[in-house]
Amino acid sequence: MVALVSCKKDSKDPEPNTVGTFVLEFDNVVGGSNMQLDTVQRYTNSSGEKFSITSFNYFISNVKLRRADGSEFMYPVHDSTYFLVKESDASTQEVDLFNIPSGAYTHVTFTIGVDSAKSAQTHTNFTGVLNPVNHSNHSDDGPMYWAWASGYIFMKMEGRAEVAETAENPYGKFYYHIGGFGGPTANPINNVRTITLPFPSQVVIMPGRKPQAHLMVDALKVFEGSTRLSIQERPLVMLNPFSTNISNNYKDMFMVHHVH
Amino acid sequence: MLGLFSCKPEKETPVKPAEEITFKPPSHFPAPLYDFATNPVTTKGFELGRALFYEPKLSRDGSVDCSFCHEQSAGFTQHGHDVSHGIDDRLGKRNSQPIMNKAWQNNFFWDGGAFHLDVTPVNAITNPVEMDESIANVLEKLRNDKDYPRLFKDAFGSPEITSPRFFQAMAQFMLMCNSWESKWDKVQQGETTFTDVELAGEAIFTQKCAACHPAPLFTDHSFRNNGLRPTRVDDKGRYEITHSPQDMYAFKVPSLRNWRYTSPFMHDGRFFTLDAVLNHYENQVIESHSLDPLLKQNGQLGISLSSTEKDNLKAFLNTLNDETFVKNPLLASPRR
Repeated sequence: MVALVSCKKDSKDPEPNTVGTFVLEFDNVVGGSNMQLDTVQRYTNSSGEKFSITSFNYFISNVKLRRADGSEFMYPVHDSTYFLVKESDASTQEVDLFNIPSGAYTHVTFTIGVDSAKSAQTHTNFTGVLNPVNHSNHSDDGPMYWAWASGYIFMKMEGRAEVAETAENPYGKFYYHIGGFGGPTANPINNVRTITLPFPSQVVIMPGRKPQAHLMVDALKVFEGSTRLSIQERPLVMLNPFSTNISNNYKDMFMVHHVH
Repeated sequence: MLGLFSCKPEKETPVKPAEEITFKPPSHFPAPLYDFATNPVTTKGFELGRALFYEPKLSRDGSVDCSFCHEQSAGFTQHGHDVSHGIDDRLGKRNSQPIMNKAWQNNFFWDGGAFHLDVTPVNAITNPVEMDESIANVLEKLRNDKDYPRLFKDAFGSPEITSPRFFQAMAQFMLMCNSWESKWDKVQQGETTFTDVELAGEAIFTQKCAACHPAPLFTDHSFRNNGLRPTRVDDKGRYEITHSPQDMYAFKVPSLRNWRYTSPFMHDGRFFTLDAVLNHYENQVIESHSLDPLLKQNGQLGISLSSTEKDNLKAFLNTLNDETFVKNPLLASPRR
């Protein structure tokens, strides 16, 4: 174990052949504000539309950590290492990664969504967050799985916007259920996105420590990026070619704000 | 058990199989696509799956079981209904398809939206117009049932009721819902021969129908726009899954087996008779950019048949109906 521990991260090199724990904390925000799930339309997107958010979930998977020398550690891929971050459930917002080889890491890479290989095996993915068991129209947060087009919803955002109120949609509800993995046979809709984020400073992982990367996840980015998304124009986007614009937007919504 | 007097003793108890249940197709069928290594069919697994197929607890209010839309006497479709209706008499937008010969499919539903048999029940159970329930609730109800823990133990070795086991058991039942004893099948096995009329019909079938409905499954499982005029529902079929322009209004080619039991026909059940279907192909095929090229040959839309050809063809099509399938006691509802 570690004998003398100093508060300066780099003062002691991690011993080889040891492992440590690392935590990814997902802090969902809307621009500069905290995210609050309710029907109060307190947020404004880049189209000037005021809206509320009632649901905000996304899958994180295939985590990799990169060292200063460029080498990578791939976090093992099991059903249990697919993470479903839900704004409605604080316990899902802290992702613990165990048994990471001790060392100094500079970047984290992860997939937003469920990769194609795992997606194509929905019939065997019945454990953990990949289990369609919780697929229910009755639960508060609704399903993250499409029964009618076997596959996962990678990112879900739902809410209400006055601009979307119509006779058929009196509450102005909007639904962005972004999924589609480009398969199992060739399908143009592929919303699997992978991003790499730098740490503001090197993260040293070693036994006895539990560094935590605090990620800010800005939901406003769902609406902006390479394509401006207007709720009024498109209050409902599900398995549709346009969805790739939205995932191209939200892939940039993550940032490592600090590590402690 | 029931009292001494019963008019139909064979409905009293489920038929206990004389031997182990195994999946054993006839020699004239191709290799199945289902990977049985992941879920081999066993007698106890099959019996559990059968119990679940006929279990109304799968629905929100206990009123709908799978046989509600998949009745054995109708070839495991919903007898006489153009579009299915489920819980609370809610209507769907499509005609229920037969649970038949599923080991040879690798995508399911009229639009191929589900790509493994094991997950197909998720749609029926969770769809608000079908059973309107959640899998989690279903499993909880089964755990609290007096019989299911024992049935799961018999099938899987322990009484835990989990979703993998649930779906595997259901798949084992569905995989045994096979139709391969029609007259056509018996001819292939050399047990009988076609009549002259049936032979003439077969020749027409081969020439004009088999490109989309080849033997022995009588479908090639492709998705095609067969020229049906879109209705107000504007169901775009396969396009809603792939968003490929050529899939606009394309639906899975259904098997022609047991057509006599599975009427009405087409994805929205708009045709109630074989004559209506043949009439569509002759007179009502609608042109569009995604119309299947086979229905637009030599500048002519559709398939034309003389009345003699129609009679012969219908005689041949009659050989595709398999009475043993709709009467097989093994697939019938068990009494509990």
